[in-house]
Amino acid sequence: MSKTEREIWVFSEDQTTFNELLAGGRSLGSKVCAVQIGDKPSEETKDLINMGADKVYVIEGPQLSEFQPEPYSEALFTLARRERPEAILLGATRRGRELAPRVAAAMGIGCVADCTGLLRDTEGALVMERVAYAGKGLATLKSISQSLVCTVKPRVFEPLSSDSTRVGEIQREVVEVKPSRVTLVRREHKPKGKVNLPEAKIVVSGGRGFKKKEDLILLQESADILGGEIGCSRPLSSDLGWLPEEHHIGISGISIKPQLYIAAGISGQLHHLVGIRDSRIVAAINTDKDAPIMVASDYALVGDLYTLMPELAKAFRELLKR
Amino acid sequence: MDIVVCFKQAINESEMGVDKQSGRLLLEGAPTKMSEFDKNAIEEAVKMKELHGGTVTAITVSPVGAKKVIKEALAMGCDRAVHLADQSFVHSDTLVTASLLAAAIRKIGSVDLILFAEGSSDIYSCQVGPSVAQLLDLPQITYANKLTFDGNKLVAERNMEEGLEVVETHLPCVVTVTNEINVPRFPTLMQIMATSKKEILEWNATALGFKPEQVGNQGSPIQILKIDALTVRRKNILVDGGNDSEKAMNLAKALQKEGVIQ
Repeated sequence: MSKTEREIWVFSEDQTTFNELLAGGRSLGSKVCAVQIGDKPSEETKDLINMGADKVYVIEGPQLSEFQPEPYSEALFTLARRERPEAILLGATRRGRELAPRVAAAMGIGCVADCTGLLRDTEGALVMERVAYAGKGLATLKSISQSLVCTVKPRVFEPLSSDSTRVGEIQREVVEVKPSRVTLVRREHKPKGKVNLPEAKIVVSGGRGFKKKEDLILLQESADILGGEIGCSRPLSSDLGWLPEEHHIGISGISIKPQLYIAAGISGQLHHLVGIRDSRIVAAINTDKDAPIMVASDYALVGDLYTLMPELAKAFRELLKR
Repeated sequence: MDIVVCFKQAINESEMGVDKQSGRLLLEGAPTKMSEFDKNAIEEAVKMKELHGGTVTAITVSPVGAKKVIKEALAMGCDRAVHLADQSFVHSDTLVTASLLAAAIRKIGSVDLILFAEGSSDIYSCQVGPSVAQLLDLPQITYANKLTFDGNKLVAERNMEEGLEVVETHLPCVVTVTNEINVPRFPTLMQIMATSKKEILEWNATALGFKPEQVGNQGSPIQILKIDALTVRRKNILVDGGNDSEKAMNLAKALQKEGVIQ
Protein backbone atom coordinates (compact mmCIF):
# COMPACT_ATOMS: atom_id res chain seq x y z
CA MET A 1 0.00 0.00 0.00
CA SER A 2 1.55 3.26 -1.05
CA LYS A 3 1.38 6.16 1.34
CA THR A 4 0.26 9.55 0.30
CA GLU A 5 1.46 12.88 1.57
CA ARG A 6 -1.96 14.42 1.23
CA GLU A 7 -4.12 14.81 4.29
CA ILE A 8 -7.28 12.91 5.14
CA TRP A 9 -9.69 15.13 7.03
CA VAL A 10 -12.19 13.91 9.55
CA PHE A 11 -15.19 15.65 11.09
CA SER A 12 -18.32 14.54 12.88
CA GLU A 13 -20.76 16.24 15.21
CA ASP A 14 -20.95 12.91 17.04
CA GLN A 15 -17.94 11.98 19.19
CA THR A 16 -18.18 8.19 18.75
CA THR A 17 -18.40 8.59 14.99
CA PHE A 18 -15.51 11.07 15.07
CA ASN A 19 -13.31 8.49 16.81
CA GLU A 20 -14.28 5.77 14.32
CA LEU A 21 -13.40 8.05 11.42
CA LEU A 22 -10.01 8.92 12.94
CA ALA A 23 -9.26 5.19 13.05
CA GLY A 24 -10.51 4.91 9.46
CA GLY A 25 -8.17 7.66 8.32
CA ARG A 26 -5.24 5.94 9.99
CA SER A 27 -6.10 2.64 8.30
CA LEU A 28 -5.54 4.38 4.96
CA GLY A 29 -1.94 5.18 5.90
CA SER A 30 -2.35 8.91 5.56
CA LYS A 31 -1.74 11.96 7.68
CA VAL A 32 -5.03 12.24 9.55
CA CYS A 33 -6.35 15.67 10.41
CA ALA A 34 -9.32 16.21 12.68
CA VAL A 35 -11.40 19.31 12.04
CA GLN A 36 -12.90 20.82 15.14
CA ILE A 37 -15.56 23.45 14.58
CA GLY A 38 -17.02 25.81 17.19
CA ASP A 39 -17.38 29.34 18.47
CA LYS A 40 -14.83 29.03 21.27
CA PRO A 41 -11.74 26.96 22.12
CA SER A 42 -12.63 23.49 23.29
CA GLU A 43 -10.90 21.23 25.77
CA GLU A 44 -11.40 18.25 23.53
CA THR A 45 -8.65 19.14 21.05
CA LYS A 46 -6.06 16.94 22.75
CA ASP A 47 -8.60 14.09 22.93
CA LEU A 48 -8.72 14.06 19.13
CA ILE A 49 -4.94 13.64 19.03
CA ASN A 50 -5.15 10.89 21.66
CA MET A 51 -7.71 9.13 19.45
CA GLY A 52 -5.51 9.18 16.35
CA ALA A 53 -5.31 12.66 14.81
CA ASP A 54 -1.88 13.78 13.60
CA LYS A 55 -3.11 17.31 13.41
CA VAL A 56 -6.20 19.23 14.49
CA TYR A 57 -7.56 22.18 12.58
CA VAL A 58 -9.52 24.22 15.10
CA ILE A 59 -11.95 26.40 13.19
CA GLU A 60 -13.44 29.16 15.29
CA GLY A 61 -16.05 31.71 14.40
CA PRO A 62 -19.04 33.44 15.95
CA GLN A 63 -21.48 31.73 13.56
CA LEU A 64 -20.29 28.27 14.55
CA SER A 65 -21.77 27.91 18.03
CA GLU A 66 -24.10 25.11 17.00
CA PHE A 67 -24.33 22.74 14.08
CA GLN A 68 -26.08 24.22 11.05
CA PRO A 69 -25.31 22.90 7.56
CA GLU A 70 -24.72 26.29 5.90
CA PRO A 71 -22.04 27.81 8.21
CA TYR A 72 -20.46 24.42 8.99
CA SER A 73 -20.14 23.49 5.32
CA GLU A 74 -18.76 26.94 4.52
CA ALA A 75 -16.17 26.60 7.28
CA LEU A 76 -15.13 23.21 5.91
CA PHE A 77 -15.00 24.06 2.22
CA THR A 78 -13.27 27.41 2.79
CA LEU A 79 -10.39 25.65 4.53
CA ALA A 80 -10.47 22.63 2.21
CA ARG A 81 -10.18 24.84 -0.90
CA ARG A 82 -6.93 26.20 0.53
CA GLU A 83 -5.47 22.97 1.94
CA ARG A 84 -6.78 20.52 -0.68
CA PRO A 85 -7.04 17.36 1.42
CA GLU A 86 -7.20 14.06 -0.44
CA ALA A 87 -10.54 13.23 1.21
CA ILE A 88 -12.92 14.57 3.84
CA LEU A 89 -14.59 11.86 5.91
CA LEU A 90 -17.88 12.65 7.64
CA GLY A 91 -20.26 10.37 9.51
CA ALA A 92 -23.27 8.95 7.67
CA THR A 93 -25.56 10.49 10.26
CA ARG A 94 -28.45 12.71 9.24
CA ARG A 95 -26.30 15.77 9.96
CA GLY A 96 -23.32 14.30 8.13
CA ARG A 97 -25.55 13.56 5.16
CA GLU A 98 -26.70 17.19 4.94
CA LEU A 99 -23.20 18.58 5.34
CA ALA A 100 -21.29 16.37 2.89
CA PRO A 101 -23.14 17.30 -0.34
CA ARG A 102 -22.85 21.04 0.36
CA VAL A 103 -19.09 20.76 0.83
CA ALA A 104 -18.71 18.61 -2.29
CA ALA A 105 -20.97 20.78 -4.46
CA ALA A 106 -19.19 23.98 -3.37
CA MET A 107 -15.84 22.46 -4.34
CA GLY A 108 -17.14 20.73 -7.46
CA ILE A 109 -15.80 17.39 -6.23
CA GLY A 110 -17.19 13.89 -5.86
CA CYS A 111 -19.21 12.70 -2.91
CA VAL A 112 -19.92 9.13 -1.87
CA ALA A 113 -22.59 8.62 0.77
CA ASP A 114 -22.90 5.81 3.29
CA CYS A 115 -19.58 4.07 2.65
CA THR A 116 -19.32 0.60 4.14
CA GLY A 117 -15.73 0.18 3.05
CA LEU A 118 -12.84 2.54 2.38
CA LEU A 119 -9.50 1.22 1.13
CA ARG A 120 -6.64 1.85 -1.26
CA ASP A 121 -6.09 0.04 -4.55
CA THR A 122 -2.68 -1.20 -5.68
CA GLU A 123 -1.84 2.27 -7.02
CA GLY A 124 -2.75 3.88 -3.72
CA ALA A 125 -5.97 5.46 -4.96
CA LEU A 126 -8.97 5.53 -2.64
CA VAL A 127 -11.70 2.99 -3.38
CA MET A 128 -15.12 3.19 -1.74
CA GLU A 129 -17.74 0.52 -1.22
CA ARG A 130 -21.40 1.13 -0.52
CA VAL A 131 -24.60 -0.88 -0.53
CA ALA A 132 -26.95 0.01 -3.38
CA TYR A 133 -30.37 -1.01 -4.66
CA ALA A 134 -31.79 -1.58 -1.19
CA GLY A 135 -29.21 -4.18 -0.27
CA LYS A 136 -29.20 -6.05 -3.56
CA GLY A 137 -25.84 -4.75 -4.69
CA LEU A 138 -22.45 -3.71 -3.39
CA ALA A 139 -21.05 -0.87 -5.48
CA THR A 140 -17.31 -0.25 -5.75
CA LEU A 141 -16.52 3.35 -6.63
CA LYS A 142 -13.59 5.66 -7.15
CA SER A 143 -13.21 9.38 -7.52
CA ILE A 144 -11.45 11.18 -10.34
CA SER A 145 -11.77 14.65 -8.82
CA GLN A 146 -8.80 16.20 -6.99
CA SER A 147 -10.54 15.82 -3.64
CA LEU A 148 -13.44 13.76 -2.37
CA VAL A 149 -16.06 13.81 0.37
CA CYS A 150 -17.31 10.56 1.93
CA THR A 151 -19.87 9.83 4.57
CA VAL A 152 -19.05 6.62 6.39
CA LYS A 153 -21.57 4.30 8.05
CA PRO A 154 -21.28 3.73 11.79
CA ARG A 155 -19.01 0.88 12.98
CA VAL A 156 -17.19 0.48 9.66
CA PHE A 157 -14.08 1.34 11.66
CA GLU A 158 -13.26 0.42 15.23
CA PRO A 159 -12.05 3.42 17.31
CA LEU A 160 -8.42 3.23 18.51
CA SER A 161 -7.78 3.18 22.23
CA SER A 162 -7.01 6.58 23.64
CA ASP A 163 -3.27 7.20 23.97
CA SER A 164 -2.35 10.31 25.94
CA THR A 165 1.31 10.03 24.90
CA ARG A 166 0.46 10.72 21.26
CA VAL A 167 1.58 14.10 19.97
CA GLY A 168 0.04 16.16 17.24
CA GLU A 169 0.00 19.60 15.76
CA ILE A 170 -2.79 22.06 16.54
CA GLN A 171 -3.55 24.72 13.96
CA ARG A 172 -6.05 27.47 14.79
CA GLU A 173 -8.04 29.02 11.99
CA VAL A 174 -10.50 31.88 12.12
CA VAL A 175 -12.89 31.48 9.21
CA GLU A 176 -15.45 34.12 8.33
CA VAL A 177 -18.72 32.46 7.41
CA LYS A 178 -22.19 33.79 6.70
CA PRO A 179 -24.84 33.17 9.34
CA SER A 180 -27.28 30.31 8.83
CA ARG A 181 -30.47 31.33 7.09
CA VAL A 182 -32.23 28.45 8.81
CA THR A 183 -32.74 29.11 12.51
CA LEU A 184 -33.45 26.66 15.28
CA VAL A 185 -36.75 27.20 17.07
CA ARG A 186 -36.52 24.31 19.52
CA ARG A 187 -35.13 20.87 20.04
CA GLU A 188 -36.85 18.07 21.92
CA HIS A 189 -34.29 15.51 22.92
CA LYS A 190 -35.74 12.07 23.13
CA PRO A 191 -34.62 10.29 26.25
CA LYS A 192 -31.70 8.19 25.15
CA GLY A 193 -32.24 4.56 26.02
CA LYS A 194 -29.48 2.19 26.94
CA VAL A 195 -30.21 0.04 23.92
CA ASN A 196 -27.29 -0.88 21.69
CA LEU A 197 -28.92 -2.81 18.88
CA PRO A 198 -25.90 -2.96 16.54
CA GLU A 199 -24.01 -4.97 19.19
CA ALA A 200 -26.97 -7.09 20.37
CA LYS A 201 -26.67 -10.87 20.03
CA ILE A 202 -30.43 -11.36 19.83
CA VAL A 203 -32.97 -8.89 18.44
CA VAL A 204 -36.73 -9.45 18.64
CA SER A 205 -38.45 -7.05 16.33
CA GLY A 206 -41.97 -5.90 15.43
CA GLY A 207 -43.71 -4.17 12.56
CA ARG A 208 -47.09 -3.14 11.24
CA GLY A 209 -48.63 -6.41 12.45
CA PHE A 210 -48.81 -4.86 15.92
CA LYS A 211 -52.11 -3.11 16.58
CA LYS A 212 -51.10 -0.90 19.49
CA LYS A 213 -48.04 0.26 21.41
CA GLU A 214 -48.91 -1.72 24.55
CA ASP A 215 -48.74 -4.96 22.57
CA LEU A 216 -44.98 -4.53 22.11
CA ILE A 217 -44.76 -6.26 25.50
CA LEU A 218 -45.03 -9.44 23.40
CA LEU A 219 -41.60 -8.62 21.94
CA GLN A 220 -40.16 -7.54 25.26
CA GLU A 221 -41.21 -10.82 26.91
CA SER A 222 -39.17 -13.00 24.53
CA ALA A 223 -36.31 -10.49 24.43
CA ASP A 224 -36.08 -10.58 28.23
CA ILE A 225 -36.04 -14.38 28.35
CA LEU A 226 -33.34 -14.59 25.66
CA GLY A 227 -31.31 -11.64 26.91
CA GLY A 228 -31.94 -9.73 23.71
CA GLU A 229 -33.08 -6.27 22.66
CA ILE A 230 -36.20 -5.15 20.84
CA GLY A 231 -36.20 -3.52 17.43
CA CYS A 232 -38.76 -2.43 14.85
CA SER A 233 -39.35 -1.57 11.22
CA ARG A 234 -39.68 2.08 10.15
CA PRO A 235 -43.44 2.63 10.65
CA LEU A 236 -43.29 1.84 14.38
CA SER A 237 -40.56 4.38 15.17
CA SER A 238 -40.81 7.07 12.51
CA ASP A 239 -44.54 7.11 11.83
CA LEU A 240 -46.24 5.87 15.00
CA GLY A 241 -43.48 6.84 17.44
CA TRP A 242 -43.99 3.70 19.54
CA LEU A 243 -40.23 3.17 19.86
CA PRO A 244 -37.29 5.64 19.71
CA GLU A 245 -35.34 5.98 16.44
CA GLU A 246 -32.43 3.93 17.81
CA HIS A 247 -34.68 0.83 17.50
CA HIS A 248 -35.40 1.46 13.81
CA ILE A 249 -33.71 -1.17 11.64
CA GLY A 250 -33.36 -0.60 7.90
CA ILE A 251 -31.85 1.56 5.19
CA SER A 252 -32.78 4.83 6.92
CA GLY A 253 -32.17 3.45 10.41
CA ILE A 254 -29.51 1.13 11.77
CA SER A 255 -27.96 -2.11 10.56
CA ILE A 256 -27.62 -5.04 12.94
CA LYS A 257 -25.64 -8.28 12.99
CA PRO A 258 -27.14 -10.49 15.70
CA GLN A 259 -26.85 -14.26 16.04
CA LEU A 260 -30.65 -14.39 15.99
CA TYR A 261 -33.20 -12.01 14.53
CA ILE A 262 -36.86 -12.65 15.21
CA ALA A 263 -39.28 -10.61 13.09
CA ALA A 264 -42.91 -10.56 14.20
CA GLY A 265 -45.51 -8.84 12.05
CA ILE A 266 -42.90 -7.35 9.72
CA SER A 267 -43.67 -7.74 6.01
CA GLY A 268 -40.00 -7.41 5.05
CA GLN A 269 -39.69 -4.60 2.52
CA LEU A 270 -36.18 -4.43 1.00
CA HIS A 271 -35.57 -1.24 2.99
CA HIS A 272 -35.93 -3.25 6.17
CA LEU A 273 -34.09 -6.35 4.93
CA VAL A 274 -30.94 -4.34 4.13
CA GLY A 275 -30.58 -3.69 7.87
CA ILE A 276 -30.76 -7.37 8.90
CA ARG A 277 -28.70 -8.99 6.16
CA ASP A 278 -25.79 -9.73 8.49
CA SER A 279 -27.98 -11.63 10.97
CA ARG A 280 -26.85 -15.25 11.37
CA ILE A 281 -30.32 -16.75 11.75
CA VAL A 282 -33.58 -15.03 10.86
CA ALA A 283 -36.90 -16.34 12.18
CA ALA A 284 -40.11 -14.72 10.94
CA ILE A 285 -43.67 -14.81 12.21
CA ASN A 286 -46.30 -13.58 9.81
CA THR A 287 -49.90 -14.30 8.88
CA ASP A 288 -48.95 -14.19 5.20
CA LYS A 289 -46.80 -17.13 4.14
CA ASP A 290 -45.80 -15.23 0.99
CA ALA A 291 -44.63 -12.07 2.77
CA PRO A 292 -41.11 -11.07 1.65
CA ILE A 293 -39.78 -11.59 5.19
CA MET A 294 -40.73 -15.26 4.99
CA VAL A 295 -38.58 -15.77 1.89
CA ALA A 296 -35.75 -13.87 3.58
CA SER A 297 -35.83 -16.03 6.70
CA ASP A 298 -34.30 -19.30 7.86
CA TYR A 299 -37.36 -20.29 9.85
CA ALA A 300 -40.84 -19.12 8.92
CA LEU A 301 -43.78 -19.51 11.24
CA VAL A 302 -47.15 -18.82 9.64
CA GLY A 303 -49.79 -17.50 11.99
CA ASP A 304 -51.04 -14.73 14.21
CA LEU A 305 -48.30 -13.11 16.27
CA TYR A 306 -50.84 -12.38 19.01
CA THR A 307 -51.17 -16.09 19.76
CA LEU A 308 -47.74 -17.26 18.57
CA MET A 309 -45.56 -14.80 20.49
CA PRO A 310 -46.92 -15.82 23.94
CA GLU A 311 -46.53 -19.48 22.95
CA LEU A 312 -42.99 -18.82 21.78
CA ALA A 313 -42.12 -17.10 25.08
CA LYS A 314 -43.55 -20.12 26.90
CA ALA A 315 -41.47 -22.49 24.75
CA PHE A 316 -38.28 -20.47 25.36
CA ARG A 317 -38.93 -20.57 29.12
CA GLU A 318 -39.54 -24.29 29.11
CA LEU A 319 -36.58 -25.13 26.91
CA LEU A 320 -34.10 -22.82 28.62
CA LYS A 321 -35.49 -23.55 32.10
CA ARG A 322 -36.16 -19.89 32.94
CA MET B 1 -45.96 30.03 -4.20
CA ASP B 2 -44.06 28.69 -7.18
CA ILE B 3 -42.81 25.24 -6.35
CA VAL B 4 -40.40 22.86 -8.05
CA VAL B 5 -40.45 19.22 -7.04
CA CYS B 6 -37.62 16.98 -8.22
CA PHE B 7 -38.25 13.28 -8.67
CA LYS B 8 -36.51 10.23 -10.04
CA GLN B 9 -37.28 7.27 -12.20
CA ALA B 10 -35.61 4.70 -9.98
CA ILE B 11 -34.66 1.13 -10.63
CA ASN B 12 -37.23 -1.27 -9.24
CA GLU B 13 -34.75 -3.03 -7.00
CA SER B 14 -37.07 -5.89 -6.18
CA GLU B 15 -37.05 -7.01 -9.82
CA MET B 16 -33.35 -6.71 -10.64
CA GLY B 17 -31.50 -9.59 -12.25
CA VAL B 18 -28.02 -10.94 -11.65
CA ASP B 19 -25.48 -11.92 -14.30
CA LYS B 20 -24.74 -15.55 -13.44
CA GLN B 21 -21.18 -15.47 -14.82
CA SER B 22 -19.84 -12.31 -13.19
CA GLY B 23 -22.16 -12.19 -10.17
CA ARG B 24 -22.88 -8.57 -10.97
CA LEU B 25 -26.23 -6.82 -10.83
CA LEU B 26 -27.83 -6.20 -14.22
CA LEU B 27 -28.65 -2.51 -14.55
CA GLU B 28 -29.28 -2.39 -18.29
CA GLY B 29 -32.90 -3.13 -18.98
CA ALA B 30 -33.80 -3.34 -15.28
CA PRO B 31 -37.44 -2.40 -14.65
CA THR B 32 -38.07 1.12 -13.33
CA LYS B 33 -40.65 2.90 -11.20
CA MET B 34 -41.09 6.24 -9.52
CA SER B 35 -38.75 6.36 -6.50
CA GLU B 36 -41.11 5.54 -3.59
CA PHE B 37 -40.28 8.51 -1.35
CA ASP B 38 -40.67 10.97 -4.25
CA LYS B 39 -44.43 10.51 -4.03
CA ASN B 40 -44.26 12.19 -0.61
CA ALA B 41 -42.37 15.14 -2.10
CA ILE B 42 -44.91 15.50 -4.91
CA GLU B 43 -47.83 15.21 -2.48
CA GLU B 44 -46.33 17.92 -0.27
CA ALA B 45 -45.76 20.21 -3.27
CA VAL B 46 -49.37 19.80 -4.41
CA LYS B 47 -50.70 20.32 -0.86
CA MET B 48 -48.65 23.53 -0.52
CA LYS B 49 -50.04 24.79 -3.80
CA GLU B 50 -53.61 23.95 -2.77
CA LEU B 51 -53.11 25.94 0.46
CA HIS B 52 -51.11 28.89 -0.83
CA GLY B 53 -51.77 29.09 -4.58
CA GLY B 54 -49.11 29.17 -7.27
CA THR B 55 -47.75 26.44 -9.50
CA VAL B 56 -45.96 23.11 -9.21
CA THR B 57 -43.33 22.14 -11.76
CA ALA B 58 -42.03 18.59 -11.57
CA ILE B 59 -38.49 17.99 -12.84
CA THR B 60 -36.74 14.71 -13.52
CA VAL B 61 -33.37 13.79 -15.00
CA SER B 62 -33.65 10.72 -17.13
CA PRO B 63 -31.78 9.82 -20.29
CA VAL B 64 -34.43 7.42 -21.50
CA GLY B 65 -38.13 6.74 -21.09
CA ALA B 66 -39.61 8.28 -17.97
CA LYS B 67 -42.91 8.99 -19.76
CA LYS B 68 -44.81 6.86 -17.28
CA VAL B 69 -43.38 8.44 -14.15
CA ILE B 70 -43.82 11.94 -15.60
CA LYS B 71 -47.51 11.18 -16.24
CA GLU B 72 -47.76 9.87 -12.69
CA ALA B 73 -46.37 13.14 -11.27
CA LEU B 74 -48.78 15.16 -13.43
CA ALA B 75 -51.72 12.99 -12.42
CA MET B 76 -50.90 13.62 -8.75
CA GLY B 77 -51.46 17.33 -9.36
CA CYS B 78 -48.28 18.91 -10.73
CA ASP B 79 -49.10 21.59 -13.33
CA ARG B 80 -46.29 20.82 -15.72
CA ALA B 81 -43.20 18.71 -16.03
CA VAL B 82 -39.68 19.35 -17.23
CA HIS B 83 -37.89 16.29 -18.52
CA LEU B 84 -34.11 16.72 -18.56
CA ALA B 85 -33.53 14.20 -21.29
CA ASP B 86 -30.30 13.49 -23.10
CA GLN B 87 -28.55 10.24 -23.90
CA SER B 88 -25.35 11.83 -22.59
CA PHE B 89 -26.84 11.97 -19.05
CA VAL B 90 -26.36 8.20 -18.57
CA HIS B 91 -24.34 7.36 -15.41
CA SER B 92 -24.33 10.93 -14.08
CA ASP B 93 -23.33 10.95 -10.39
CA THR B 94 -25.01 13.02 -7.70
CA LEU B 95 -22.94 16.15 -8.44
CA VAL B 96 -23.78 16.13 -12.16
CA THR B 97 -27.44 15.30 -11.48
CA ALA B 98 -27.62 18.19 -9.02
CA SER B 99 -25.88 20.51 -11.50
CA LEU B 100 -28.43 19.63 -14.19
CA LEU B 101 -31.35 20.23 -11.81
CA ALA B 102 -29.84 23.51 -10.59
CA ALA B 103 -29.42 24.68 -14.19
CA ALA B 104 -33.03 23.78 -14.97
CA ILE B 105 -34.29 25.63 -11.89
CA ARG B 106 -32.26 28.72 -12.90
CA LYS B 107 -33.77 28.48 -16.37
CA ILE B 108 -37.29 28.33 -14.92
CA GLY B 109 -36.47 31.56 -13.08
CA SER B 110 -38.45 32.55 -10.03
CA VAL B 111 -38.96 29.59 -7.68
CA ASP B 112 -39.98 29.86 -4.01
CA LEU B 113 -39.73 26.31 -2.78
CA ILE B 114 -37.77 23.35 -4.10
CA LEU B 115 -38.85 19.97 -2.75
CA PHE B 116 -37.07 16.63 -2.78
CA ALA B 117 -37.60 13.31 -1.05
CA GLU B 118 -35.15 12.54 1.77
CA GLY B 119 -33.43 10.08 -0.57
CA SER B 120 -34.16 7.83 -3.51
CA SER B 121 -35.53 4.33 -2.94
CA ASP B 122 -32.83 2.64 -5.02
CA ILE B 123 -29.61 4.41 -4.01
CA TYR B 124 -30.65 6.43 -0.93
CA SER B 125 -27.59 8.66 -0.90
CA CYS B 126 -29.69 11.70 0.19
CA GLN B 127 -27.16 13.95 -1.60
CA VAL B 128 -28.95 15.62 -4.50
CA GLY B 129 -31.27 17.96 -2.54
CA PRO B 130 -28.54 19.57 -0.39
CA SER B 131 -26.22 19.71 -3.45
CA VAL B 132 -28.83 21.69 -5.39
CA ALA B 133 -29.25 24.01 -2.37
CA GLN B 134 -25.51 24.68 -2.35
CA LEU B 135 -25.30 25.20 -6.12
CA LEU B 136 -28.17 27.71 -6.01
CA ASP B 137 -26.87 29.28 -2.77
CA LEU B 138 -30.10 28.50 -0.92
CA PRO B 139 -30.80 27.42 2.65
CA GLN B 140 -31.84 23.82 3.16
CA ILE B 141 -34.01 21.84 5.53
CA THR B 142 -33.59 18.07 5.31
CA TYR B 143 -35.71 15.24 6.77
CA ALA B 144 -38.82 17.42 7.21
CA ASN B 145 -41.65 15.55 8.92
CA LYS B 146 -44.02 18.49 8.88
CA LEU B 147 -44.02 21.69 6.85
CA THR B 148 -46.07 24.86 7.38
CA PHE B 149 -45.93 28.26 5.73
CA ASP B 150 -47.51 31.29 7.42
CA GLY B 151 -47.13 33.64 4.45
CA ASN B 152 -43.76 34.80 5.67
CA LYS B 153 -41.80 31.99 7.28
CA LEU B 154 -41.50 28.33 6.46
CA VAL B 155 -41.48 26.20 9.61
CA ALA B 156 -40.40 22.56 9.57
CA GLU B 157 -40.30 19.75 12.07
CA ARG B 158 -37.35 17.47 11.51
CA ASN B 159 -36.96 13.94 12.68
CA MET B 160 -33.32 13.66 13.80
CA GLU B 161 -31.52 10.77 15.47
CA GLU B 162 -31.46 12.52 18.82
CA GLY B 163 -35.01 13.83 18.70
CA LEU B 164 -37.38 16.31 17.16
CA GLU B 165 -36.06 19.63 15.89
CA VAL B 166 -38.14 22.62 14.81
CA VAL B 167 -36.48 25.07 12.42
CA GLU B 168 -37.63 28.04 10.35
CA THR B 169 -36.43 29.99 7.34
CA HIS B 170 -37.56 32.39 4.65
CA LEU B 171 -38.21 31.41 1.06
CA PRO B 172 -36.66 30.55 -1.31
CA CYS B 173 -35.48 27.33 0.24
CA VAL B 174 -34.73 23.67 -0.52
CA VAL B 175 -36.59 21.11 1.60
CA THR B 176 -36.26 17.32 1.64
CA VAL B 177 -39.23 15.48 3.14
CA THR B 178 -39.59 12.14 4.90
CA ASN B 179 -41.83 9.22 4.12
CA GLU B 180 -43.95 10.14 7.17
CA ILE B 181 -44.84 13.74 6.18
CA ASN B 182 -48.03 12.74 4.34
CA VAL B 183 -49.91 9.97 2.59
CA PRO B 184 -49.53 10.39 -1.17
CA ARG B 185 -52.81 10.51 -3.08
CA PHE B 186 -53.90 8.01 -5.69
CA PRO B 187 -54.84 9.93 -8.82
CA THR B 188 -58.39 9.49 -10.06
CA LEU B 189 -59.13 8.37 -13.61
CA MET B 190 -60.15 11.97 -14.41
CA GLN B 191 -56.80 13.25 -13.16
CA ILE B 192 -54.95 10.64 -15.19
CA MET B 193 -56.95 11.62 -18.32
CA ALA B 194 -56.24 15.32 -17.69
CA THR B 195 -52.47 14.80 -17.88
CA SER B 196 -52.64 14.74 -21.67
CA LYS B 197 -53.43 18.48 -21.61
CA LYS B 198 -50.50 19.33 -19.33
CA GLU B 199 -47.23 20.68 -20.64
CA ILE B 200 -44.12 18.48 -20.71
CA LEU B 201 -40.96 20.37 -21.62
CA GLU B 202 -37.88 18.50 -22.76
CA TRP B 203 -34.49 20.08 -22.19
CA ASN B 204 -31.27 18.48 -23.37
CA ALA B 205 -27.66 19.17 -22.38
CA THR B 206 -27.32 22.07 -24.82
CA ALA B 207 -30.53 23.71 -23.60
CA LEU B 208 -29.11 23.61 -20.08
CA GLY B 209 -25.74 24.98 -21.18
CA PHE B 210 -23.72 21.78 -20.73
CA LYS B 211 -21.22 20.20 -23.10
CA PRO B 212 -21.37 16.40 -23.50
CA GLU B 213 -18.08 15.94 -21.65
CA GLN B 214 -19.47 17.77 -18.60
CA VAL B 215 -22.29 15.27 -18.00
CA GLY B 216 -22.86 11.54 -17.71
CA ASN B 217 -20.03 9.21 -16.91
CA GLN B 218 -17.47 11.55 -18.51
CA GLY B 219 -18.37 14.55 -16.40
CA SER B 220 -18.89 12.72 -13.12
CA PRO B 221 -16.20 12.81 -10.43
CA ILE B 222 -17.49 9.52 -9.02
CA GLN B 223 -16.97 6.50 -11.26
CA ILE B 224 -18.65 3.15 -10.74
CA LEU B 225 -16.09 0.34 -10.99
CA LYS B 226 -18.59 -2.49 -10.45
CA ILE B 227 -21.78 -3.46 -8.68
CA ASP B 228 -21.67 -6.99 -7.24
CA ALA B 229 -24.91 -8.74 -6.39
CA LEU B 230 -25.29 -9.25 -2.67
CA THR B 231 -27.07 -12.47 -2.01
CA VAL B 232 -27.98 -13.80 1.38
CA ARG B 233 -28.69 -17.50 1.53
CA ARG B 234 -31.43 -18.43 3.95
CA LYS B 235 -32.71 -21.87 4.80
CA ASN B 236 -36.38 -21.11 4.13
CA ILE B 237 -37.71 -23.75 6.47
CA LEU B 238 -41.44 -23.60 7.12
CA VAL B 239 -41.98 -24.52 10.77
CA ASP B 240 -44.76 -27.09 11.15
CA GLY B 241 -46.94 -28.19 14.02
CA GLY B 242 -50.46 -29.27 14.92
CA ASN B 243 -51.27 -26.10 16.82
CA ASP B 244 -49.68 -22.77 17.75
CA SER B 245 -48.16 -24.19 20.91
CA GLU B 246 -46.51 -27.03 19.00
CA LYS B 247 -45.30 -24.73 16.20
CA ALA B 248 -43.76 -22.35 18.73
CA MET B 249 -42.00 -25.21 20.50
CA ASN B 250 -40.67 -26.55 17.20
CA LEU B 251 -39.24 -23.13 16.35
CA ALA B 252 -37.68 -22.76 19.78
CA LYS B 253 -36.10 -26.23 19.46
CA ALA B 254 -34.75 -25.43 15.99
CA LEU B 255 -33.20 -22.20 17.30
CA GLN B 256 -31.64 -24.08 20.20
CA LYS B 257 -30.16 -26.60 17.77
CA GLU B 258 -28.70 -23.72 15.77
CA GLY B 259 -27.00 -22.62 18.97
CA VAL B 260 -28.40 -19.11 18.80
CA ILE B 261 -30.37 -19.26 22.06
CA GLN B 262 -29.07 -20.46 25.37
